[in-house]
Amino acid sequence: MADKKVIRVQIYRSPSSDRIDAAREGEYREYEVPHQERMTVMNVLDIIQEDYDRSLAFYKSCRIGRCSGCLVSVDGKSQFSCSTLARNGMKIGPAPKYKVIRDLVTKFPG
Amino acid sequence: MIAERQLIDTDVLVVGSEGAGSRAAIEVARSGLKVIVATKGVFTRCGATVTAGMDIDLPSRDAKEIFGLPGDESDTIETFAQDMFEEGKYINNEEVVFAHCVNAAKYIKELADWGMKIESLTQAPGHRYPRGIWSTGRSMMSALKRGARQHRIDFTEHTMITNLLTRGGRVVGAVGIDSLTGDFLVFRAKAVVLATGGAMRLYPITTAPEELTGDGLYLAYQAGAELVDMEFPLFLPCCLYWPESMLGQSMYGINNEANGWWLNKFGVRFIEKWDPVRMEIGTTRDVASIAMAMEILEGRGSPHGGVFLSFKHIPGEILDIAAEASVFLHDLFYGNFALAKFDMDPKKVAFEVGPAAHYWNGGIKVNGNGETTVPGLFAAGEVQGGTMGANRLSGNAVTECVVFGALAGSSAARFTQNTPPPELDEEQVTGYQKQISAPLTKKDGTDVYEARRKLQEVAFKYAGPIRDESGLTKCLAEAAKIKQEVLPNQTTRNKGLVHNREWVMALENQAMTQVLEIVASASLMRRESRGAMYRLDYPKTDNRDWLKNIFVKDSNGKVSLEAKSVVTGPSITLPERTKVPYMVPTWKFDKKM
Repeated sequence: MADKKVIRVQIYRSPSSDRIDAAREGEYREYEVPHQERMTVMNVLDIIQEDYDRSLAFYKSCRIGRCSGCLVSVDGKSQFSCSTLARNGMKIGPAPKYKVIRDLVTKFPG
Repeated sequence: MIAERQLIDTDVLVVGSEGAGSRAAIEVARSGLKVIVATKGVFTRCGATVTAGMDIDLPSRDAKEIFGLPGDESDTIETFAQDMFEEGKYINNEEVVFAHCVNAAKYIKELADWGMKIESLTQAPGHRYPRGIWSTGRSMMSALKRGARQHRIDFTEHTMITNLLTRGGRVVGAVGIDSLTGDFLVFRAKAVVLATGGAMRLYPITTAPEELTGDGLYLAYQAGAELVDMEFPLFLPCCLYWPESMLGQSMYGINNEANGWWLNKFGVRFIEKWDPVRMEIGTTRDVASIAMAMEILEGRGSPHGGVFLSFKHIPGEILDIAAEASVFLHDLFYGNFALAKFDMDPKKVAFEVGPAAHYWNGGIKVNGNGETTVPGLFAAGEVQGGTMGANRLSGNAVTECVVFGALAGSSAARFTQNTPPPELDEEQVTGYQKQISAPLTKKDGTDVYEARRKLQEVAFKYAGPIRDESGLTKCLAEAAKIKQEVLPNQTTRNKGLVHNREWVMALENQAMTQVLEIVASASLMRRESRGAMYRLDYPKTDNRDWLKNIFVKDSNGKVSLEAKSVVTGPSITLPERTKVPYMVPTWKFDKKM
């Protein structure tokens, strides 16, 4: 039998998918996705991007906790989305200290 | 729809920013030329190098003499090269192998001078001597970042190169998209260095990062360059098949510290059938992957499609000692992906693991200077072919990156000096602009994610660790169908210009489909099993008729293949020219440390 549990999260979204959101003018929106056992924040973002909203932007490279590219803010704390377990009600935003490019993608200093 | 066209002039364009790409750029900058690095990700936060665990090989004697590590003075360049040939199943390119072995110490020393931390010296399976300097990809990239800063390298990030520009048989630049603006970028360059890594993302389960979709292989092939050994994608055994959130995470390195057992669903240590002498701890990755894939194929696998990796026969106290002694194990126990966090305590459960696409043995044909068969085009690192033959000797991937990064960068710099300024073919540029923007401008068509899933499913099923004629024939039919019906009609649902992943994926799908067609074509031609390629219908290694490389080239839209015999000088000993069983360990793995 399929696991019918769901998980609700809030995700920061930039106002336009055609320009850079340098001034952080976006807002948090709520999403509900099917729950998977031991799923991470990145799994949640993947599902939203593929099945709900293709315009969601987030950075993804190694997925195994090595590249440090997927740094986001989870309930105000800097975390890697690939190695943080997802929880119901969590608030996912762009990494706190950096300039936002769009949604969860930020500009890392050189 | 697509935004502005931008023309950018440079002496040398490097595609890919990590181990090989940044090293190539440094070499170009040293000769006073202008260099731009275009990368799909963010410098030091993308690509394969930063994920490496990692042993970086050099002759054991140099480990002792240059770094004061417990290396062995009896090791020579020739022994190192011979080991690469034995693990590469004797089809490596001798000139490339010797360039690799001769230059390894010099360029690793340079990394250390830039601050790469050296933990210890290790001896990985397949090596007669301890040759692996143990460090991390992160530390290596920090070192290269320092080197790149000294030379003020210009990194153009979030940028995908989609096509090379050619004129009169020479590469004169490249085009692509800037994901930060959606702009169409036109690079006019005297030389281009490809350092884009492999195409492991063609497979659904892989240790490789998102960017490794075979872009460089496709770019070179489209520009008329020859590729070689494309039938040998390397699979790493012991990668997690479950849970989904840890898919592809490698457990293989544990073998260095603790003797895990690989079990089928009946609890049998199946490696005994394949490599009874060396068993789990000494066998090589190619054999292990095929042994695992065979158990899975024949129905003796685990619930999520893998086999079991178990440490439960080892007392917990011993596992704790191993974790203290090893950076790798310590990371697994206490790092970002701590197993306990995912309810995966090795003292309590067996893991479901299997082969995951890990490395691209073949690639763009280069010589010992990183020159491809097309003037103005150079290649370095995983994207190049010839160094590893049919199977990479463990620990050589990052060595290859820095050695050939430097050599290809230097060759590219030399090439610019006696070459006239590049002139672009406007018709070619406009044509590519139209192609690139198509997924964004089309209203209805095929789904990009669906195309990606289909590609990965076909690749793993028919062109994975185990292949046969009927599967490969199906694979080619499926690839042709995707090429004709799916790719030209790909349409993104997201039409935004900034950081549009779907658009990038649509363009990557083009490269992946072409690479799949090449892998399947070459695999079908090779009627034997060797290294990373196992043919169910030709299970023997045929050293009589197949001590050969398959060279691949585009011929008016068709894959043209040519098999040529391996040629080596007196310093390499080749095997007897007979058919032998697939797995013949030539010597027992005797770990010296």
